[in-house]
Amino acid sequence: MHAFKIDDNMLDALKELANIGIGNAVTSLSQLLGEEKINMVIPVATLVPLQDAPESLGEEEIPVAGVYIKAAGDVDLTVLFVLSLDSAANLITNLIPGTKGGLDQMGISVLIEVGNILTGSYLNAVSLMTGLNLLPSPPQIAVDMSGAIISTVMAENQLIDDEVVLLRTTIRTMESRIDGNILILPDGGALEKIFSILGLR
Amino acid sequence: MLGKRILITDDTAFMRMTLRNILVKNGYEIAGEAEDGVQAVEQYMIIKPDLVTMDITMPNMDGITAIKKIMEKDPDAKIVVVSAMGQKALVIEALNSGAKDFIVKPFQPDRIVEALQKVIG
Amino acid sequence: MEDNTIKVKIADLAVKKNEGVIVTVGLGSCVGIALYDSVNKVGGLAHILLADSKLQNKNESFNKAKFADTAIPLLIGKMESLGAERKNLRAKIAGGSQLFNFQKKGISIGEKILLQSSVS
Repeated sequence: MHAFKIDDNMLDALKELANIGIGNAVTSLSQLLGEEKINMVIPVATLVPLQDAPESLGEEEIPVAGVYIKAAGDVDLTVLFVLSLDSAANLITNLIPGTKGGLDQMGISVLIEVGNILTGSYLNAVSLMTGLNLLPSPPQIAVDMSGAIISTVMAENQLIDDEVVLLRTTIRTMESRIDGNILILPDGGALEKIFSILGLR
Repeated sequence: MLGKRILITDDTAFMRMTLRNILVKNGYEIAGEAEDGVQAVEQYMIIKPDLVTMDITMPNMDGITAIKKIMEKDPDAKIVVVSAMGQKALVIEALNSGAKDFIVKPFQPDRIVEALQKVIG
Repeated sequence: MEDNTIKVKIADLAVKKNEGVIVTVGLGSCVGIALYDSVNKVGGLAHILLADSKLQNKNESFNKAKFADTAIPLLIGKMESLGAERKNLRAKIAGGSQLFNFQKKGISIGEKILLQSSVS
């Protein structure tokens, strides 16, 4: 369990931080996609029982493409960018016109780079707002059930408290039909530091 | 500007392709491509490019370390960072290590061309 | 879902006697361990997250289904209380995949769980 109780004020603050961070990431994505308009659902920050975490992106058995980045530094957090396979194909054909959008080496490379840019923009904003410095790992990708991806990432990062903090937002492009989910999992130590910087502890 | 030789460093094939297309279109020659800092340093010594574009987040050796190593071997090396990470502390470190400019992804092609022209013409 | 089907979530386990289905999905690097006593008709399934509980503070109560070293004894114990006998137990294991090629020095989480869980 976390060393301290996470209350609604804290979740609210995280949500706001995520809002600005992900907003920055979405702006970058829009620029990358030729200034296409992208809708972003205001991030949700929730405390979820461990057992329910794999279902946080909906139907856990549907295969998806998941780009995973571990950001470490003053605090550690995990970023997952998850797309349906159709959206992944649309993203690839948007960025490499004329291709079929398949998950070949170049297609996968596109997804990885998009994950890299989204995360970079997110971290840049978080850094500006909190003074915290984090550097991302090179992104990794898996195509699998969303539940499997989420649980694997949690196990790998020891995010195994009985309740897990999740920041989640959904993005949708207006023209290219790309829907994505961005899931951010801070580790316990990260929360303490962030809340203390935000004056909540 | 014609024929200036560039070494592109990025761990993503898509980004290397993107940079390659922009540079070739603007009259530069691609002397080589590196996927991580280790390859960048190795290739630099073999190819002796006019300029290196350098990503930061890469496996095996990150961009900042690669910049330092290249500058050690060649204090006149011209390196421009192209990275998704734009945190102030990082930009300062890159510039202090010897990079001539720092471009944050995503970028407009003009930004890259402008940056290169300023450094090597 | 039919009445006779139990869904086991992550870090969870369930046992059943006689008839029914116990299901878990999306293992990834997690390991699913199924044990069955065909003589006494008792089945059990655990969805395990990590190999061993060494980082867990044993002075607090914790969810034993999270770790292979605590989940398996718990699973067997529950099956025994439904009438299963150890000598009849057969096991099937699934999962422990490496979805990402995490840059790591040792073996993957999945492999660790599988090693920890060796059930003959």
